[in-house]
Amino acid sequence: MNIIKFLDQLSFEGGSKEDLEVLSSRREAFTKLSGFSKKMAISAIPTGILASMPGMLSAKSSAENTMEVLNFALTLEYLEYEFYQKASESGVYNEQKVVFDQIKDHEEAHVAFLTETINAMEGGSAVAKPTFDFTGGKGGTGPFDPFNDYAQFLALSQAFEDTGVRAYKGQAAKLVSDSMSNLILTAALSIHGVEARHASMVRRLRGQKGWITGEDTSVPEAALAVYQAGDPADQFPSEANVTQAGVNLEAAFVGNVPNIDRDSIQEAFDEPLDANVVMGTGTVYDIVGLFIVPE
Amino acid sequence: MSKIMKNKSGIWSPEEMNNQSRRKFLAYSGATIAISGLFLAGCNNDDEDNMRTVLNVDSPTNLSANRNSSGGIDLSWMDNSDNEDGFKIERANSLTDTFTEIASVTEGVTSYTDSMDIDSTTTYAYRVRGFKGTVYSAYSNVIDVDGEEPEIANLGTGDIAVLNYAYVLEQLEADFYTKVYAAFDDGSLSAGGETETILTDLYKHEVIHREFLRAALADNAVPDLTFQYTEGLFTSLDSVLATAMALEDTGVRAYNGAGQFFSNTDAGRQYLTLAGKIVSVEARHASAIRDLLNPTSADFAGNDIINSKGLEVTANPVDILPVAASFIVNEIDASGFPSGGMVDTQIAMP
Repeated sequence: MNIIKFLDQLSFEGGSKEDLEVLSSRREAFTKLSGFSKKMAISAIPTGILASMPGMLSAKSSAENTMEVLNFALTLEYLEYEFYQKASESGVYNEQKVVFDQIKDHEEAHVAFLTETINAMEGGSAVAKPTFDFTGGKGGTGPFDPFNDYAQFLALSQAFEDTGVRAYKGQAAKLVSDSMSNLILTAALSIHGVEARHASMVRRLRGQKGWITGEDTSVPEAALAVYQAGDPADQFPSEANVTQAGVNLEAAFVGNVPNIDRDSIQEAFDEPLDANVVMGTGTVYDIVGLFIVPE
Repeated sequence: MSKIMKNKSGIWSPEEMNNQSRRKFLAYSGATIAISGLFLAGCNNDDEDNMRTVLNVDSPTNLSANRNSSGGIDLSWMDNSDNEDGFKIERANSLTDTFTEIASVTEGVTSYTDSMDIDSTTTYAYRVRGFKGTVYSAYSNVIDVDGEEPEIANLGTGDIAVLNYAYVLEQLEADFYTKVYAAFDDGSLSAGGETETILTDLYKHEVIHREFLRAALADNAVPDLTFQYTEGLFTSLDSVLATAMALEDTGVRAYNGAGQFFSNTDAGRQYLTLAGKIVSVEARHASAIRDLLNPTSADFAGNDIINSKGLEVTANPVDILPVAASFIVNEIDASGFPSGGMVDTQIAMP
């Protein structure tokens, strides 16, 4: 099936092939960071705001690249959906059944959407669902018992949702394209936001803020990487990061902008997390891998 | 004749009168009604219906004033009365000046353009009241307006236009929550508990987003915008939360929809990641505000905004800017926005 025809059948408005061709030809080459080296409105911010942005992502935006990203996303969604499905069967979240049933339904829809999208691509093939072990024992005896212990369930739920937010964010730039994948990028951004809504809700159910203040240590030790720096750290900083586009916002704002403190600067930006989607390695895979039984 | 009390705000208040005189105010129907002048003398106590029509001119509300682009100031207000002869408009030529009547309009008219020679360095104040014969309603709210013509906010072109679009939305959010925070501070609004903590956090986050984008855009940034809100918005927690939900949901769908308009360049991809760092925080906000409005329901990620594919609806500037414009006094020029932004190509319900 042609990917455009497939996307037409989804709930996009105006996603006809003609529209997409118009969209694909609209891009303007923006060869210079014009304006970003001019003087700053706030004197504490040094010049050349984006000159020090860390490493460039691959400019490759082939269908192959897109498919790899979507298969990576699908693996995450498999993990989340099975987690909530098993939790639902166990009754562990009955205390907040309405909330977690809603989350479960979204993850199920994401699995279906990504599977259909990948399979509709030219040469596309959705990855198979791994075998998960949510005790973290990789098939043996692990440290977790999330389907009998509501507190553990909540902690892992938070870890998975916040990982989802960071993981989608880390891949989004790879979906930027001149061609037909704009709607795929939009769909990925949309899912990214839904995961953030989930994360905020789960965090608040745990008595936490819906946003992340620094390197959150409220999750099990094995999952601390969810909030820590990825690799490379300048491109995938920890949630304690206060430097955006090369500017230390703590130095620029605290004391200069009323009521702004370090915590609120950390909270105001979520950070991306790395995954090498070709090799199946990277920080996100380290986290997800805790719960995958090796073949 | 019974004594009529004058309350501390200088408004004649039937509520503070004794029962005998209260009976003479037969038609009194609400605490906001004020009566000016000692007009009781000529009234016939037996003609209650006639008294009702004579004694009550409900005061106009929601007076707003905007500097228009042709050199005048546009006023509009809500007519809450069904018996007025018209409205009288008063202006003060500075914040310390006294009010002077400048015009009168006939019944049912709810707008007026003051076409005087505006001084761009002056802040003017306006108020309006209804009248029937020599009976006046209470005054509307007083509204201030700068004589300076609002600058047109031109978003620019290409990636700059997309970033300025985000900056416009962040300016709106930051201004809104700054006013919420100020209302907490002066006691005109109170929430307490997690609600106040959340709204205070949102104030900080949105100010950070605005200041970051202002600095990043530097000389390419649109000017500081001027905002207008419904009268009384910041004294009602229900209204504040409903507006916060609308702003956060709108922010999320706007950012999600705008991502595809960044250029396929190194810079465009970096901007996309930056926007992504912000939009997920907006989504966290939206989730929390929705949960405050309807706790532990499915509304935090509700079926009204997330379709059957698990995708949240997105929107283009062509849909977002008219909604934002109801809060923004300045004209927004989006003609340089990447062309796809002015057509509908987005994720929709169901």
